[in-house]
Amino acid sequence: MSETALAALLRAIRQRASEAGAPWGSRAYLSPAPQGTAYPYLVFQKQAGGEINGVRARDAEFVMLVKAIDDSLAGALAAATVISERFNDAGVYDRPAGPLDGGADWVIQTTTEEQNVFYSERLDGRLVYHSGAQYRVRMEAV
Amino acid sequence: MPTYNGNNAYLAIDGVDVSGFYQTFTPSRSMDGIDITAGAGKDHRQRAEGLADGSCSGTVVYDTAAVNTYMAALDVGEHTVTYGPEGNAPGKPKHQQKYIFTSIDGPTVDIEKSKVVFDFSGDAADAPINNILAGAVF
Repeated sequence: MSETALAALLRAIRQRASEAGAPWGSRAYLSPAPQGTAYPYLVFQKQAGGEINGVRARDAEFVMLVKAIDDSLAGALAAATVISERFNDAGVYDRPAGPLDGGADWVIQTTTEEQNVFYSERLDGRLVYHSGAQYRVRMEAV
Repeated sequence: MPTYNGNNAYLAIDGVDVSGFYQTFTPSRSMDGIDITAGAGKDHRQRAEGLADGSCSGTVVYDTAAVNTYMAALDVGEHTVTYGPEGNAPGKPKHQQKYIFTSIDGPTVDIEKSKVVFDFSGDAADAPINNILAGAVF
């Protein structure tokens, strides 16, 4: 096995987030985004999880946060819709055509959207909106 | 040696190795005590050994790549189960017995995407072929 489950998942999320047509363009980062990144942009990070020991094979479950940050409320909410379309029910058992790619070592079995994420903050004198969701991801080693 | 806390068990049903797909397996043994209390003035029950009996229960996951290789071995009916809690290396404890699988539940799918499994249980069809409690090994 050449990579951990988390490594495979981070790469799969980055890959899906970078597909053409997203409001954030190529601005998708493992949190935090670089200083001065233009709005909107997307960040993702692990919230919880690890090996679940449900079977003899290596298996893992993570809760991942995926959210867009924008200085437009409408923009942030629209970006959250795209996030949901790309990451909810995106495992091989949810979406046989075009699932998240776990690479050579891992299968991303299911992804399930759970907690909605939305809040605003005042940054450099203007309102900035965070909008997205937490996703529960189950994986198993090939 | 320390207490065993492992999951490297060997489990085969009718010769089909399901070691990679089990979640639990328990073989059980039982025996009724036959009341033989006799004679006047007894103040304590007396018993003798009755017939031995056995049962088993287990859970096997639904592996989409391999399920067709072992699903038939889980159906109701007579099956030979071979079990080694420490694996099947030579010298490791072994239990082998014919069971009548009297029930099989699953595969159950639920909306919360829980792991899909088969739950089975059975009654012994005969005395053990290899009795782990009598010291049988692979």
